Amino acid sequence: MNLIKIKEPMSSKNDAKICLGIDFGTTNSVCSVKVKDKFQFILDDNGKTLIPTLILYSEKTKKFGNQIIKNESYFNSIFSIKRNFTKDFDKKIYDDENGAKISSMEVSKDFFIYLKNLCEKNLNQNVFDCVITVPAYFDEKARSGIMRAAFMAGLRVRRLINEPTAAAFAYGLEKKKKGIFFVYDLGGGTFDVSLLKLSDGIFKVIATSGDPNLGGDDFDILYAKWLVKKYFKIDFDSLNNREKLKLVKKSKLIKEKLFETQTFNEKLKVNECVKEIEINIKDFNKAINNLIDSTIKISLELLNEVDVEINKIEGFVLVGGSSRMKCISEKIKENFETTIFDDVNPDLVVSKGAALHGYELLNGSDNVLLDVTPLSLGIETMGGLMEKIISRNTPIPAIKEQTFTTHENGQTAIKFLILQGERETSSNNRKLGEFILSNIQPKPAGIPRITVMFSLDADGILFVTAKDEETGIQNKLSVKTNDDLDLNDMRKIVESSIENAKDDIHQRMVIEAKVKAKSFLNEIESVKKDIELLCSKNDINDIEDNVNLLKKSLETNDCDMINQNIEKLNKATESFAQKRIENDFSQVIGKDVDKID
Amino acid sequence: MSVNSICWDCENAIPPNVFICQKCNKIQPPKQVDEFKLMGISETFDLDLDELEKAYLKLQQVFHPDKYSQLSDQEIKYSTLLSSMINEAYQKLNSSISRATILLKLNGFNPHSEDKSFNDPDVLEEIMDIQNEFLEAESSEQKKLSIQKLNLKISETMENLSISFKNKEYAIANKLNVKLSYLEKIRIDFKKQL
Repeated sequence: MNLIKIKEPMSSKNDAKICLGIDFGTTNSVCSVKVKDKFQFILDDNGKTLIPTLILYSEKTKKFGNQIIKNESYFNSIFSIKRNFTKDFDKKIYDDENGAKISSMEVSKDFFIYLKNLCEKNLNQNVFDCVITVPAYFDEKARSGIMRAAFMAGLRVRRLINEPTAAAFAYGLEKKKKGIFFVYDLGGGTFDVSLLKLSDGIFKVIATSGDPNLGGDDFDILYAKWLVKKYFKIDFDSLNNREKLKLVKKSKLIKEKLFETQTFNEKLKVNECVKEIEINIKDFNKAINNLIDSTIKISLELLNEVDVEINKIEGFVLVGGSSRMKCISEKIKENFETTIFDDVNPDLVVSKGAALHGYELLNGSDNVLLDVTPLSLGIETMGGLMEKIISRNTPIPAIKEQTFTTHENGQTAIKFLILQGERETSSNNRKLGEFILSNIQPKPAGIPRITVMFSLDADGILFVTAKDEETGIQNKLSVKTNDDLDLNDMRKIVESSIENAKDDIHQRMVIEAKVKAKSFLNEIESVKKDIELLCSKNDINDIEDNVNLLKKSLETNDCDMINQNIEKLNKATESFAQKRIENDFSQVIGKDVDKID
Repeated sequence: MSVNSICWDCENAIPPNVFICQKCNKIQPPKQVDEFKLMGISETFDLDLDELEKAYLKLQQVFHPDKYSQLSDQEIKYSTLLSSMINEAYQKLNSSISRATILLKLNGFNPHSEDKSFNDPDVLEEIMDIQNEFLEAESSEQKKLSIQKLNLKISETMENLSISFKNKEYAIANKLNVKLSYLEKIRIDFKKQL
């Protein structure tokens, strides 16, 4: 290709745009920002950079981070919320300050709001733009969940970047390093390894691997189990949940103390029985040994997979709070003949990388970050097998197409099940979603050509399109849970809410109203055919008018008007909703409802 | 097929292998172009992989979506498409097997007529011998030795493949490429079993 050098439209340093770097961690979160060539960490009201990812809802108040003192309330606080993103984060399992049930995503949204407010206080201005880091081994659902929570908090997420990549970016820029580096990132809840090649201004991820459910939290659990067994002769699993939780949190506090002191005495209470016990680093290391070994195994497998000899690697960069543990660098030295670089602060470097990258995204730069997708993506085919469309460690963005066909004569619809993972059978991989492409021309089996396109963008977010080559009928799917909006739609809503926002609270109300309105409009759109079939001409016109009214109000930031128009549309569709229920019912019975006794 | 396209924004003429408008600097939508031309490197089997990587990184420095995050949706979309194309072309050219397949296609040889060489008894026997040797090896030393032999065979096949491309003997090149992909599959298999 003939390259034409283009000049970056560099803005002058004075009006450099601000973009936060947010490391939303399992145990601790860190925010930082580069303002006019100067990099700084965000401090909370206690002057701390390390903000525990803790949320406490009590009567009519919310508390966050270091506002939660490590006493009784610490044991009531919500912790390790990030771990829920690899599970069902929409399940309403927590009580908020008003006693309403809320989901992990809503709790995270509140925490993002807290972080945003802190940053605004530090910088003395409104801030919307941010880069958020995610574990490299997080799957699609977890990534989009984090992004959604940040959007709902009023943050405009400019990029999601992988934590080890962010760390390597900050490290490479700061220390001016070149060569191949192995990033070993052991956090509170997740473990990532990434192999990166650093050259002049280029940060290229060669391959990545990890375990999204292995981190400091698991050490706390194992150590708590070991302690109650050893000193109380009790099986940990026989304890009630509250007791377990207390012990795990206590075990975490002891672990943190062990970073500084090798032995000390500590009072431990189990089922009302209090004992003074001697804490020793050796016992701790023994208790967690198996987990450390599995991090070594994952590291070895990655090196083996990519055909890179250990002597070609400059060394290991240790990242993540849990990598502070001595036993980790000892184990690495045992297994790899390599240098260990521990000249970075493992708790802060990820956020720094995100902030530096954010600055460059908004203000231009010659540096480039090239990442890969951690897990293979594909669809289920006959016999419950997964057909890979994008394989793991493919550089992103990536767009791949594959053609499929029908397996029965006259088949007019195909269901696509989107999967992520490395296993052969689809049931062992994570289901990302499914959609149906209907109205395929009836043809003999094997004749229709359905092209499925997987598009993975630079955030690592997947969009899938299926198209019947003959009719041109298309169906799109973005990975989402329930009836949530497409992430691109949400991004637009957040962007539009920023203009003329009176304050943060107003901005979030606008976002909420618009998200609700847009979901409603999508729903109406999806049942358009049924409306035409079931409703009178008058009703159809009425619905159409109200749809247009709502669409029009979406162009403004007037949330009262948006909410009123939602209500109006709701009224207009009432009789349709009723008819639809009756219709569904009559189809089941096969009779007109009026004729059923 | 050296037809110019027209810039979507300023309607200036854009030469075939160019993706940035010389007049208004706007990024252009992707166009059909072969992997070598996209990378701006000469069309040969004997690629210098370091050169390929340099060309690849240089292109990503221009086309990666990070460079367009402030621009219009359309420009972001084009950069995502182009950046994906560049990623894929790089991966394909970086592997000898897919690079040979691309070259065969560019020279009008349809690599799908390859089935005959599956029945090539000499190749099959050669492959069987290597597999048997590895399976019968008792110590890991012996296994490593048979992997070394396999690696030797791979580089030998690569050399022959290179010669056949130089002599424009595409039917032979196709056979060798099928053999190479078999050997490569076995190599990955062996590595997993080590």
